[in-house]
Amino acid sequence: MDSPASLASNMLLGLETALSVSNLLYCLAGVVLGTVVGVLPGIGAITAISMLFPLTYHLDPTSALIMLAGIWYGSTFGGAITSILLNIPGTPANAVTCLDGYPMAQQGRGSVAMLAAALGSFFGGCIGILILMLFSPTIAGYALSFSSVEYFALMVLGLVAATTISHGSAIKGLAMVVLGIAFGCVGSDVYTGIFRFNFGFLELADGISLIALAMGIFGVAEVISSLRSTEAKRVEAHSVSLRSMKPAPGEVRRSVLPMLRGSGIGAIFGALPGTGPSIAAFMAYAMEIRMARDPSRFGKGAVEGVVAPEAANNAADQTAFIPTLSLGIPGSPTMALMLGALMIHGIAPGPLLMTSEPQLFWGLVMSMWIGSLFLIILNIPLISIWVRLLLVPYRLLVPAVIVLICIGTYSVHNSTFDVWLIVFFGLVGYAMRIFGFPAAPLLLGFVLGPMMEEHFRRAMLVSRGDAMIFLERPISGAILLATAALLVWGFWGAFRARRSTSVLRG
Amino acid sequence: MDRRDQRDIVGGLILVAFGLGMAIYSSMNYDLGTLRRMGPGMFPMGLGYLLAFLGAASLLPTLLGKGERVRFQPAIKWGPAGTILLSVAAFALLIRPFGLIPAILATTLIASQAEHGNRLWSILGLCAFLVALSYFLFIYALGLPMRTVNWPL
Repeated sequence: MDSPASLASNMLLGLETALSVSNLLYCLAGVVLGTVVGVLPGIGAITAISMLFPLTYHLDPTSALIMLAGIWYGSTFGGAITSILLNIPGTPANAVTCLDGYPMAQQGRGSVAMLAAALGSFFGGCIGILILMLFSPTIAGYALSFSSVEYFALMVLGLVAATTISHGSAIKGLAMVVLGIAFGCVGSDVYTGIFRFNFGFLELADGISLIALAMGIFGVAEVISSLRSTEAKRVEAHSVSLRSMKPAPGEVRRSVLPMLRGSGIGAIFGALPGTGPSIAAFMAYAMEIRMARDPSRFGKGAVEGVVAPEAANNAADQTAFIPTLSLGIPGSPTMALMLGALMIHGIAPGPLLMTSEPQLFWGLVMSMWIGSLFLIILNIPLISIWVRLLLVPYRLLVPAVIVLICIGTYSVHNSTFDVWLIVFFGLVGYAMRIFGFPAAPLLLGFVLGPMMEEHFRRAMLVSRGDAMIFLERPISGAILLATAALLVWGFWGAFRARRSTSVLRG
Repeated sequence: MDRRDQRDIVGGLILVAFGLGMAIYSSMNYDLGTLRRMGPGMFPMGLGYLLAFLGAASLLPTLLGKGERVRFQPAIKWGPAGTILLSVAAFALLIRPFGLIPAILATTLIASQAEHGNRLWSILGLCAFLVALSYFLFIYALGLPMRTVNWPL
């Protein structure tokens, strides 16, 4: 851990960056947009971030990251509103919140549930930011001694973890990682400069545009698969007000421990590769049922069942930045896009980031405190505005999303080729959904692929063509051993849980 | 063997074909080099074989009759999918020769057909809103060099 003095000076530097007028505005814009997409079902953080990703091209990298991060944690914050009022998760991370939030709303206590969700989210977010501040410098410092061998091993671990833990079939997930790495091979070769797989298109010389790929696979394919499936539900916008937010006696006292436990669980699962806010929220909920004196209250409107998962998913949102910023290894597609935003600006992700770009890292971290404060204001006194958003029908959102995707992608290079790439990847992404292949591993593989190839080739050069070097080096050997254990566990788990998946998903 | 299994088999076979194709294409077109000094073809060739292997492995549970029975299978929505992709293609076709506003109008009009229940006046309202928003955001605020309207003929 850093010395308190350097932590304090870093925090000051970060605060200075985050409090500049333009960064404050981008932070506010990010959390407002995040809340909007969180509230609107059918548009998740990843769709929103890929939609707004082109905008960051025109900003400086710190502001870009501040805004994208605001969208990310803001959407988890706002997604609770939809879960509670409509029993539809605003984002996947809020799915568990439906279980007790919706019953509360049916009992006429929706406002209390939203207050609980907002306070839980805020508290969890704060714990997450604290952990991020305290541990990232240590991890980055440790990672400075890593060579290509360790990096390659770490990336393999990250990708394997991301596919075996959270998705249905480990083999299908791994296949998508490899497909993603394969798409990452398009463009000029790092060592020789030879064009690979560009099939005569000069536009592919720099590789496939990350924006077009993300827009196609997440934006367009997401829109297509939620078409004609979201049924319209009516909300009574008047039922929500600040006055009706008064909790029942004993609810505040009962919420304190779940909030702490949820934050802890969220902080851990957010930082691990492969898990993330959704799994964190699920685990926190399961934990509360186990800890409860009377578990039968859950599912019928227990306030703990709202507070704990909301604290967990927001803590996880923040700690997800730990591996992304301290090692340069993203654990989720959203984090991969954050890294992409940095790389577009020529900033190499990795352990050097924190020392070479301190104002970026600490500015982002301090902006998260400010963003969380914004969110508390947006979600408690101003809540009725967001509830009205639920009155906008999805059929009008579809064309708006598509138009913004098109203009956004086109604007980056004024390239119609990139827009055609969206069509291609929209088709690929939709086909993947039909065949049951997960999309997240593909994006992770795509972002990490070129770095993996570079590290792999460099490591093989150093070892004179002996692949055993990956096992002989102690750190990389241990990492690869852990990867192998994960693979075995993943396959065994998939085999065992085959018939219970439907139970888990409810 | 029911329809579910067929879909798994087609998905796996596509991966096998794609992987093998990639491996063969890279070994034929790019220098493989040696393990010590890898050429541009080595890594993609390895990836291709790995992908083909994983595709084949994903077929196994289905072929052995142990496929995941309870999994959620989304219905294929040809119409909406085609409409959305067409709306994106319309944007790609129109933006250069005709400019931003015609491209937005065409994309909005086509994409609004993908979901049922859109009335004409709400679509027109949406068109106006999107044109205004895009103009403000991309041309006024970001100052991007895009033509708003252009008549090429």
